[in-house]
Amino acid sequence: MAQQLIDSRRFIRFTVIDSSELVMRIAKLLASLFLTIILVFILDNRWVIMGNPVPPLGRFLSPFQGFWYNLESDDDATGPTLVSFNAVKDSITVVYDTLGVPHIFASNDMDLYFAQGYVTARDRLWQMEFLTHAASGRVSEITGAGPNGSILDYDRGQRRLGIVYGAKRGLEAMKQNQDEMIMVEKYTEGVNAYISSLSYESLPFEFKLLNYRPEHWTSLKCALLIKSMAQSLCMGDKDMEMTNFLKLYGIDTLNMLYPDRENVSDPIVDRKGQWKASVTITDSIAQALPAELISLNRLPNADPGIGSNNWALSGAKTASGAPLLCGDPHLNLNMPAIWYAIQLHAPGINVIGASLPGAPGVVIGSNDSVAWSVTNSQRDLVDWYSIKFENDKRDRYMVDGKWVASVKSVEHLAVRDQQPVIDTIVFTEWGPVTYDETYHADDNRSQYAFRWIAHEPSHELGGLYKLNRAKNITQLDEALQTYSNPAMNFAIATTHGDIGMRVAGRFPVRRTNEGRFVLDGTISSSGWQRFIPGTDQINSTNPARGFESSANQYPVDETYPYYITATSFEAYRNRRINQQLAEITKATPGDMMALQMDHFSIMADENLPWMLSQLDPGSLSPEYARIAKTLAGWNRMNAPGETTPIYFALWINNILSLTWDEISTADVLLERPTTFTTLHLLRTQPELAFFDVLKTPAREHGQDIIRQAFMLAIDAVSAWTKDHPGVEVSWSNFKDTHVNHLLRIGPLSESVAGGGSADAINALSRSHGPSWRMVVSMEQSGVRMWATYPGGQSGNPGSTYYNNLIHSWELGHHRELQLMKSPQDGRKSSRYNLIINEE
Amino acid sequence: MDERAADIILLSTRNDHPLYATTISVRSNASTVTRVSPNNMRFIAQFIAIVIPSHLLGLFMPWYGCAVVAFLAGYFLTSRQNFLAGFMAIAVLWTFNALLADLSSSSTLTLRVAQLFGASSTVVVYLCTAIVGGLVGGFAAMSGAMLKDN
Repeated sequence: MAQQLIDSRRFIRFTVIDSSELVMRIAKLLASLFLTIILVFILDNRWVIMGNPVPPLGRFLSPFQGFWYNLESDDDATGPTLVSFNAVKDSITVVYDTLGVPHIFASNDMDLYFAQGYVTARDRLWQMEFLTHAASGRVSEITGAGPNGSILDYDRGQRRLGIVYGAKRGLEAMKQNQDEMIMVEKYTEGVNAYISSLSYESLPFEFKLLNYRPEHWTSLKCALLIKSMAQSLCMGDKDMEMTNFLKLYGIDTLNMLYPDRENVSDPIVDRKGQWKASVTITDSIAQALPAELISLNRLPNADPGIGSNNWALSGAKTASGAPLLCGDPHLNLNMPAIWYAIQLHAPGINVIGASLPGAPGVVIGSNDSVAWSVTNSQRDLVDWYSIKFENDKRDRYMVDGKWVASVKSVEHLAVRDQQPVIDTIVFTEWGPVTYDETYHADDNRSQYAFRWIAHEPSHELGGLYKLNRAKNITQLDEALQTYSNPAMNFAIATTHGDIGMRVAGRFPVRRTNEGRFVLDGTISSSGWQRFIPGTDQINSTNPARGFESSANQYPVDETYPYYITATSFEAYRNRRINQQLAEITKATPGDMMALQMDHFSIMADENLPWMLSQLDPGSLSPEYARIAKTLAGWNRMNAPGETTPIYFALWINNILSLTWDEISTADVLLERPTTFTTLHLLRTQPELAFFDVLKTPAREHGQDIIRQAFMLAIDAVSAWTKDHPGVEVSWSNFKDTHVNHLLRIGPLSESVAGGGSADAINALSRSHGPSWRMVVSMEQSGVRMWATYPGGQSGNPGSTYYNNLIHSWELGHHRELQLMKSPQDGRKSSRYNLIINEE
Repeated sequence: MDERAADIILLSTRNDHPLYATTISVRSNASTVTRVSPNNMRFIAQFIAIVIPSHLLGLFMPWYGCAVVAFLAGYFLTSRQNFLAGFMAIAVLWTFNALLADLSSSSTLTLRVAQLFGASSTVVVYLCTAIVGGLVGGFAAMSGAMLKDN
């Protein structure tokens, strides 16, 4: 073999001038050239290999422009960073502090919002853009249709829920308000100034990974982000589920299982006998029960883990004598962080707090006089109207005996790696028909139009504009007059010493039971008649108890004249907060930070002794008896290192699933009652038929459920322990909280070892929890703010500021955010300055 | 006699033909590089002529600018080991710059990318970087040398 090789080479050597040798050389050259070019082509393009997208490896791995370039050096620039733009009138100074929070100093509103757009894009461009794609149903453009077309299905759903329709109407309304126009247009210019400055290497990491480029920012994208936040907060409903339940079980059982108001909780505002209604609607709502049960594959409701806490303490209860304002909005936690901390300073405004990347203004925070934080107002702001179409073409539908033309929106969905998809959505004056034979409805014959409060034209930004500048409670109230949705409970405090609670938003005046079930779309009187006027909104100022608080519970005492219904109200956290605040005196900001981290489970405290009393001690094996004893001695704290909370959580979960097997196994839409109602029924009506377990021949009662669930919980812990060898059996390991990257990519996500639970003040579950924790002391000498949140200022996973706050957030170690008076004020705590149009 | 031994004998007798270069270099570069000879000098010159312009061009050209540089170096500064020179030059250049970026930052992005590739160590990312850059550099340099040979 070797000899042959040598021979052939010698042969080549001696026949260099042979023409066949020349041909061969040229062939080799061409082959080599071709290989080089093909190699470059392969490495310069994205490929999908066996369903897995692979980024263009040459570009992605090149240290000059690939992901290596996104590794941010730890050393900051020594001098200020200088940029200039024609769109900016005067010089703007942005001081970046040691947490990476930009403090913007501008000399007019236009420059201020330009700078906000610019600096936000600088840190969060990919996130902002991805969220607008997600809101408008365009994710498949970036990722492809997804496993089993799930992403394409999500995109169609977003369009069929009318998010873009709502955003467009929102934008039309903005155009009529000069302040709002300045905000969105200048913000948009700022974002675009940043986008135009980008070359491939400076693109955010995710653009390189998925191999696409950012598109131009628009005012509509700002509107989309606002609607997207409204979608996570105020789009929940159970109208179809309640309609089915009513048909199956009747109104009495329904009222027992799904009361509008559970017999629990301190309402957010309790001013018994002080309410009067300036609007009365006496007619009742027409029932529109469909002939058959509604069976369709509903889009998921907003997660029940979405909720929030906020409270304000009057100076009489604090150590400094100045009011304290605290807030922690709970959301589906994401990387990059949901909030972007920022200070905005210009003539007439000096505000600091959490902003929504992609929308101008500060959403939660404090200016130099007024601080505020929000929780979601659980209120039914969604209705489904049954539509009678003339025929299958759905060109016309009946309203008040007349045929009205529908509007068809033909949606073109671009899908990466495949042909575009066309989806036709029928719009009625009620709203879009979300489900039909082409989408999630299969053989369901009746069709429903979806009406949502955020489809209406509204002025959120105008509200924020004024709120960010409010000097006192009067100006704050004026600001909230223009605020529409998502409806929020605003806890407020001022440096003048006032505290208050404002339930702000646009609420339809509802007739009894209106909105609880599907409505008749063939008569116009089924629609919303009026909205609750500002004078009748739920509010409270400087209450005698010395504090205000809200935690998504029922909003008001029973003397409030307007009908209120919702998907559910919070039953536990709110009472723990009120108990703690009622007791506290001489509160310090540190006490408030500790209270935000409180792990106490009031649900366990109220139910556990009784649940344990239902067990039969004689029949328990020693192991089970030992666990029962541990539970009895448990201090009710869902602390991260504890084991006992796992048993309690699983016990409750098993009680719920054993009890509501009628609901989970039904083939029509139904919804489980709340945990509070379930436990209440277990105690008060253990004979109820729902406590019978369907799959067993025996007839179970409440006590059987409790006993069976206890055994199942213990078995589940054993199973978990077996599945997780070498992992400590602790509450945090069991709960396994993750702050997931928006693309749901594991390596870009963060794992958190946190305590808490949905019913504790620190409402941290597997994927939801406090997205921002803030304490503000309203001192006359100057407002002081401490805050922390899961993530960091930077959206770049190659920056240490991507996740630098995660640990402080996990432990509840808030960091001070300085409300600077001037750029010089921040000299000591600044990392570097960015100067736009240096003077 | 094994193949490698045969190549070394070849090298000592007939080592001036460019067509031999790639085969020999891949199989026995250890024995060739240790000897300081005009050929080795040429290899080093070619290596440097790829590294420096590629580094400078890398700052403002697309990533495949290095292929152009390697091609030209293969053409004008042909050595007996063009593929190896191109491969080594770009692999070393990319690895070195990647290392600089990584060392200057305490972020864990490199580990996150390794995990995206299904690996648990950053070494995998460095290897991929070196191989991807190296292959392009190597093939480009070889093509340049072949063009000259025609």
